[in-house]
Amino acid sequence: MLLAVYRLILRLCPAAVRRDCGSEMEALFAECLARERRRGGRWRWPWACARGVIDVVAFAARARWDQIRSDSRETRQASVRSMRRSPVILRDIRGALRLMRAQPIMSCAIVLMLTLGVGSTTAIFSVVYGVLLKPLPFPEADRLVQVSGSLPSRGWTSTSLTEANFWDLHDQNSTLESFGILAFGSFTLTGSEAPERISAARVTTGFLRSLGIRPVAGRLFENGEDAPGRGEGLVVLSHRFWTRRFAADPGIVGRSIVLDGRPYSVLGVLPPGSPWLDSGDAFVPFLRRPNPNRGSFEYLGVARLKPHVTSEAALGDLSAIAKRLEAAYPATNTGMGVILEPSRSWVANDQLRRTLWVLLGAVLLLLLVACINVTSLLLVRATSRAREQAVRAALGATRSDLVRERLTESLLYAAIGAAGGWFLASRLLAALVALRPAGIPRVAEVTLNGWVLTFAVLAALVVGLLTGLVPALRAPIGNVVTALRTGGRGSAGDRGQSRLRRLFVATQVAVALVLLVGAGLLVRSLVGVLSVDRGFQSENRLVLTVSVPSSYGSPRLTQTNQAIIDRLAALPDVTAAAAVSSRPLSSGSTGLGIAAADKPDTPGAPVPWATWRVITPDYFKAMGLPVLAGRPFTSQDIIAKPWRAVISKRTAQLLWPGENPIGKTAILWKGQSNRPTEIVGVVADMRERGLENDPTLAVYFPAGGAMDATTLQLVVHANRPAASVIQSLRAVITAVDPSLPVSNIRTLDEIVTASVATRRMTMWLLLAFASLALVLALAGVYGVLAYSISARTAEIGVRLALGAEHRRVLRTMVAHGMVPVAAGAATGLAIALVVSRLMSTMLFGIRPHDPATYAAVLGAIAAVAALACYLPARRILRLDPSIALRTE
Amino acid sequence: MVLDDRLPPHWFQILLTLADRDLHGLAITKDVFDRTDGQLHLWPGKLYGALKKMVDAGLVVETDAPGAFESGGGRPRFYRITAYGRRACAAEASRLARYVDVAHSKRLIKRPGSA
Repeated sequence: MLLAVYRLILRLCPAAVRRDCGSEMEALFAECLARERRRGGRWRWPWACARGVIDVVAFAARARWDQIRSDSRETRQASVRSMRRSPVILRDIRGALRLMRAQPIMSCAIVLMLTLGVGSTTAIFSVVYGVLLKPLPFPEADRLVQVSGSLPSRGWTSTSLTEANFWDLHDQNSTLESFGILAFGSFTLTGSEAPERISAARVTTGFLRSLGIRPVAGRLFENGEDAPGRGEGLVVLSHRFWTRRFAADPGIVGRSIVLDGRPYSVLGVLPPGSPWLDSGDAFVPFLRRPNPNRGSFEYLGVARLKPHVTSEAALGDLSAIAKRLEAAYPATNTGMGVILEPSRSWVANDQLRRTLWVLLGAVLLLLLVACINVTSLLLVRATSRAREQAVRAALGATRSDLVRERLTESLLYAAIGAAGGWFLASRLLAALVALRPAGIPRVAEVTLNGWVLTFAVLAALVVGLLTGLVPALRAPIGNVVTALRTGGRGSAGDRGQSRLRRLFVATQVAVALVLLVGAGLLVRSLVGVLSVDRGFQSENRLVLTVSVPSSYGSPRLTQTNQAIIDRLAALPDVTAAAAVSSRPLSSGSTGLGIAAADKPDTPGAPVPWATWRVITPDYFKAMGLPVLAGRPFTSQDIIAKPWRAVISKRTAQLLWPGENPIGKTAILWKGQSNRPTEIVGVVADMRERGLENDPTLAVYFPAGGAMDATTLQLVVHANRPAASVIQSLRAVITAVDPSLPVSNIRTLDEIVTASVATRRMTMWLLLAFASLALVLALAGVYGVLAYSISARTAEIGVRLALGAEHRRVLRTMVAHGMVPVAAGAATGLAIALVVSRLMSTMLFGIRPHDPATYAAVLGAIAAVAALACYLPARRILRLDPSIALRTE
Repeated sequence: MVLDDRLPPHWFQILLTLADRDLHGLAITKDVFDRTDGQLHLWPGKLYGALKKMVDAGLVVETDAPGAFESGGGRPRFYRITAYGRRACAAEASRLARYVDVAHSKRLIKRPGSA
């Protein structure tokens, strides 16, 4: 180990010195160390190591200094000598390196462009790999399916399973090896540390067995441990929770932890991974009940197909069972179907898949633009060396010699660019993971791994070949004499080359336009999403959960809840505080069928489905939902005494279009308990399921003064930024009862921001790629025109001398430069019209052919391209014909 | 290099080691180390740095390994003292000897050999 370090340090020495005495120095170093060790002494050994290192560094510095002095005398002969000795490839590399050093600015530009291109491509690819391509942490994942229900009559294409339906499917199927369900809940963990709210998952034994995982410690649930009497008091911990709370102590297996005041014996620990395994803290058995509920959709089902059973066969099997259930339980199961989702769609939904592929496509386009720029720079360099090449060809260099040299040069650039790109990718990725964009699963696990490395190397190889081939194949071999005659002047007279460069510019402009259109559409979408009327207000508001032990019993529970709400509302910083039966803006809410009592039922038409909540009087104030008609609840209103409700605006319009709903009667739980309810008020609609989805139909019931729930969901409106009042809220709750855990504190602003995080990130990334592409394309436009003007200075001089106006010549030249831009823009427009359709599902509120976006992008490109043409052409204005004529 | 110049101590020790036989670097370090009771420890950089300069100065030359020499790996380079090196070493030794004489005449030490 130490010797290896020493060998590394020795590399500081010039190669010649190392060759001469490197191995001897190593041997001697080992000997010296051994001797020092024999001498003993506590500090002797590290001191000896330090001495050895200082010694060799000083030696290397000395040797380098000597070499520099002697080099200045005899570089030339020496390098020529070594060139002759070394193999061809080394000679090419050395030659290429010398060229790089000769034009440092150009070389830096090339390396920078390749670094940007390869780096961003590699970073995006690593995300695509980590999120989409990396296999799930479950063995034989192709046999895993997620089982959901469907209820088209309520517009549910995919819904959770009900408990009873699960057991029926579980017992009657013949195609599944194992099948289980999972439901998330929470526990209060008490014990040595402060009480902590932890998330829990209830699973039937088939769930973990379907995943096919092995525990990292202890064991998982066995068959039959979901039966009452056997499964009580058993718990399996998730790897994340085990590591966080128990410091990954394997001794936890067999010990007991206290959840919700009851002891649970720890059976084992799950392996890490997502989905699911790390999303809960504790997994407890889901106990089979004698009379399972058939109407409540809350469970996520996962099944493993029997070997050699196709997903279609399993779907047929389960659908047949669903048909039988429909016949047996018409009240709840009418229209209920079954759907299976293959495991590869678990991690990323279609939307996210599409987003990531679009980003990868965009970044590859950026790489293409960078490649074109590099190619055109290498081409310039090759042109300026045309004469030298011709001389060499005349002296006997073969075509393959010259081609090989060009390719070596470009591959060398690609290698340097790839190394820089790898570094850039690692920084970009670190930044991305630190952002933890909500909505991109597994992003925390994204790393630069072997696959990504392979990708980066391949990308660099392709880049190297692409950028090298064009200059290489244009090596002037065919006509040495012509090349010798014209090449020396470095003229742009080569028509083929000038055509090629214009083609490059056109391509770059086209690509930049496509990217800009994509970015523009996303910008407009995000603006659209953020400016929708969400119904509620998010400023200075937050939601939090307080868990009250069920052991408190009826009067104490209500008193505690009441005290918390009253004291929160009494805080000077708080404008309104309210409790609600299920947390707003989160998935999973309770629903009911609703109909107007005074309208006849339309037979066969689906009953509208609305979410319902029980709320305390100040809820609308706390959420900032305006009451549009009627009145809000008071503390005298109590649910079911009598039945009164407030409904949302959309619900009112649906039930009584054009009428005043106040005082009218609605039938709630239509088709089930059919409860007539008086409508006392109408509030604004709220976009509950995300800003991009239509507002849900909503029904609100009064809780009276307080709730008797064990899980108290609170909404607080403060009169200053919500984050700054969290401390005082916690203090109030602790003052009421110090044993109550407070969890899930989130400001509404946070929730809204998180809901658009992926969209925002996608937009910024695409915008960044598009801007980079545009800058590179403009550099191309500038370069082409600057080059052609400098080559035509003499001609311009003649024109000026013959009386042409400066302005007119300027106009001609700018127009000349804009021709490839226009061609590229036209092509890009055509491509964008086709490609933008791929993004249609990513857009909000606009169509893929949004004329405003296209017009803005076209205008922007035209304006900046004109500027890029004007800047080099501006020289013409100052041109003195007499000087211009002499530039020849 | 002029003979009157003082030799750096480690140069002197290297020359002293090479005075009666050709040796390679490792053996030189070991010899110097033993003779000075570990007070002069020639680390690799110092040793080879010195040897290179001594070759340049003409005090020692590189030489082939003796035929009989067998080593574990590779062929270490051997160094042989030149006539010039021998004179330089002797000059340094007698310069040091003069100080020993003085010390003796002031009865600080006994004459070497009579102890």
